[in-house]
Amino acid sequence: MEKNLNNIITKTATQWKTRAKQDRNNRRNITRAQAFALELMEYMDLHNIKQTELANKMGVSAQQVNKILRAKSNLTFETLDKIAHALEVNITSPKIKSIKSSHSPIIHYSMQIVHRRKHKVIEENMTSKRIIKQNAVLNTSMENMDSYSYTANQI
Amino acid sequence: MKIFRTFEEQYQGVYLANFVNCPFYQTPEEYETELDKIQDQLQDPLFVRNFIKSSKSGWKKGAYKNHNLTFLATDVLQEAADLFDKLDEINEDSQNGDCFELLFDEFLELSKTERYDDPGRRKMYTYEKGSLLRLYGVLVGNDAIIITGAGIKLVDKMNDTEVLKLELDKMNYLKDWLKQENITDSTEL
Repeated sequence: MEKNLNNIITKTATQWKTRAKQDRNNRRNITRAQAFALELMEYMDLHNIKQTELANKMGVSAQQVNKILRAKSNLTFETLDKIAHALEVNITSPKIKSIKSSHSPIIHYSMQIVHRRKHKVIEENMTSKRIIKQNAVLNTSMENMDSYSYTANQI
Repeated sequence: MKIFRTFEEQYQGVYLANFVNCPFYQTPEEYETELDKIQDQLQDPLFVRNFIKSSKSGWKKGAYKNHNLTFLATDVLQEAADLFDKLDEINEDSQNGDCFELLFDEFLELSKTERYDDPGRRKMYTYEKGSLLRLYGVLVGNDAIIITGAGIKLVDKMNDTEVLKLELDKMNYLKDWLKQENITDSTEL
């Protein structure tokens, strides 16, 4: 006898929805934490630094470093200072910049499941600049600060 | 196999799979469905970067071989974020009745060949163009799709990497299971 799909299903998935809601409300922070994690990993790769080595130098657990690299840690000034000290680099301090002064054109990102709906509006300075320089956040030079304006919001 | 509804009060559209008792693949216990696994892994920079960097991704064999690793990882993370933000938005709007159709309509046959000789395997791109992610699923009847997994696709064909071959196998396993259970439709006549 043929069965109907709905007759064999007893549950509605709930976990993905809870997480999606939380993530969407926290998207800016997550994106910044992800970008920082990727830069940190690139630096660690380049200098052949392992997670445990960084943890030892920072004086924290390997799990804490793992959380930073998985963008699951809420980064504080204290943590950033520990990373900077451990890697012997500078991590730039946040800067205050007027939103009005930045002329940010609007980019229309067209998603497959969105194209019949409204377009997503994204500020150019948050999403369209690709960080192609290595270890940008960790650079010590003041000249290249402006091109990484998002770092001002990273903490 | 366990199948979950994606949204409340659902009678058609997109459903979610959890692989149990499959001989070659199990959905990890910490995840309710395959969608939860995708949601967690594809927003994890460490996972995404390590995956792309590994030979499993086929990064150095495909069209993206000259792309920067961080650049690719950033794009994947952005794409996953957009996908789940949009799913959340659709979930919020689910009361208006068109969300099931909206998602369902975005699933396509895996290839041109399958368009003519349709085995019921489906894929969905996140973006219209330049999508690095694919959601995969299996068609049930004419109005239901069960999501079986996702892939970061950096190669030409799914058979070019073991990871994407596994996604094909998962789809085939679910199809066989549905057949064995005699589940042919989602609508009650």
